[in-house]
Amino acid sequence: MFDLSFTLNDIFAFIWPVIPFIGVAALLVFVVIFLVLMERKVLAWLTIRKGPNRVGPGGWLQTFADAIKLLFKEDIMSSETNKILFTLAPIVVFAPVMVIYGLMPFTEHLVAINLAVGLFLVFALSSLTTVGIVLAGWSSNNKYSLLGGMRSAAQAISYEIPLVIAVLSIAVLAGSLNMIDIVKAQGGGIFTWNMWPAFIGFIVLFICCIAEVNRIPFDLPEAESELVSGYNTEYSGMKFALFFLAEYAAMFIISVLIVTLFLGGYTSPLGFYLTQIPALIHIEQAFWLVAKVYTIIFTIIWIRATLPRLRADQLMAFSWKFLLPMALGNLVIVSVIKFLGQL
Amino acid sequence: MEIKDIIYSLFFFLIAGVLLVSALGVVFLHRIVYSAVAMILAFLSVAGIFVLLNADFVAVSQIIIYAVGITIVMIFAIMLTGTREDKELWIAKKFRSIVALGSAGLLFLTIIVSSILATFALQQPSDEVIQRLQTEGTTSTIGNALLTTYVLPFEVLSLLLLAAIIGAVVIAIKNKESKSQ
Repeated sequence: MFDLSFTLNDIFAFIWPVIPFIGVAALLVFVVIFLVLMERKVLAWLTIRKGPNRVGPGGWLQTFADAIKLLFKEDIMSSETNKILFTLAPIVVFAPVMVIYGLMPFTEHLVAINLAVGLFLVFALSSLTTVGIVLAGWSSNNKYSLLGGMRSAAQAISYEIPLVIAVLSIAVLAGSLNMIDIVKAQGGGIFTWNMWPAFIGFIVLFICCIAEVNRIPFDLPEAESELVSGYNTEYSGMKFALFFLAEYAAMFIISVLIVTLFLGGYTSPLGFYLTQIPALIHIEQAFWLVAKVYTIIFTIIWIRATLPRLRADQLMAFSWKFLLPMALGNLVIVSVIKFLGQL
Repeated sequence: MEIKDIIYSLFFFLIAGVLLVSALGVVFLHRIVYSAVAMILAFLSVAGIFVLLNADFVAVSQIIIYAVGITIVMIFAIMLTGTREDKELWIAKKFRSIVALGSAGLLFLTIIVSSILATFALQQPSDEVIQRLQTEGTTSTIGNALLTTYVLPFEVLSLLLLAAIIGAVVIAIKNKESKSQ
């Protein structure tokens, strides 16, 4: 019944899609290590402090040392925790983030999973991490963790609605949910970026993304002064490292997402590529993406150094009474622009 | 049988196995939080089956609505009623669960028998259509169908959801008034 005479080519065709994914996954750890260092350096610069400056030249090896420390730490579990869910929660938080990495177009060809519904799947998976955070908060059997988990879920659900409506305007503009198609539609330089017709959507998405990854001024789920450290209070060692990794990886991902949806993704802002050799164009695309992404990340860190934390009721009112109407208005404007453009 | 088909059926049986085990887990696990987690797994496996059937849009909707949206509300409810978390849920000991099992089994048998007896006008889509759906996805097809052929059922369904939202608001307002009195 089974014809097992398949060639090496068949096996290769099956394994090939997995290889870029492994590469991207390996990239993730280095991206996070650099991001943590960058955040500490930039924060130190913005608040006129010294920052990490002891390990390695200029403190550049500090986060490598931190990562090694985290990996070798003892894994402590208090006796009253729910052992199964306590172990499962960091995995549920981390795994979707890993898959979203594979969906992101880093260059024209470096996209591990190129799906027709890629954009939609990104949001489905990112909402899956909320489940993990709630489970972490509940299974810790600690009131601070539980409050942090509940706050995080409430916040994620509230901010997901304006976020998705803002992204809907991009689907209207590009006429596709495929990430590569969305980028290609903005390939003609800085003036063809989606940012201009959907400017309100860009602002709304930016604010919502900061809220989705729980950063200041929306860091209520892990407010140190109120909740110790929120949902991950009881965690240590490798499990804590997974939460930490997922959090910073998510920060990188939302920056890639903002760039891909509104700022032309990997395409050159000039409208043409400086290099003409195919292999070099590949590298140039990666360069433009990284340049845009780190501009966004710098802005996020800048906001962290500038703004105070919101109150819980302000947080909800801001989402439902301000961001949601703005996102809907943006959708109407974008639809009218698209309709007029088709006449 | 090509290698493609072998891999396809391998994935199908893998996902179907996980689906069956997790669905049984929802019913038989002792702690209600475990049931909720097993339900997430079951919903994700259903999404996997949809993917194998080239229904990508439905699969992603399955994740975002069922695996996350609905179960997170359930986990919230479980967390808010936390004092009863350790109560054992062994449903088979109750008489009503036998009734439920019987009626569910009867329904299942009816569906099986009717699907065997009935002659559906099953039409295998052409390879061209399958190819198009695999590359372009099903989103535009579903969107066009919902807003042209099936626009009336679609609007009626959204009316139902609107009624549910208004109902929730009404209940919330009532609670607030009674608390302040």
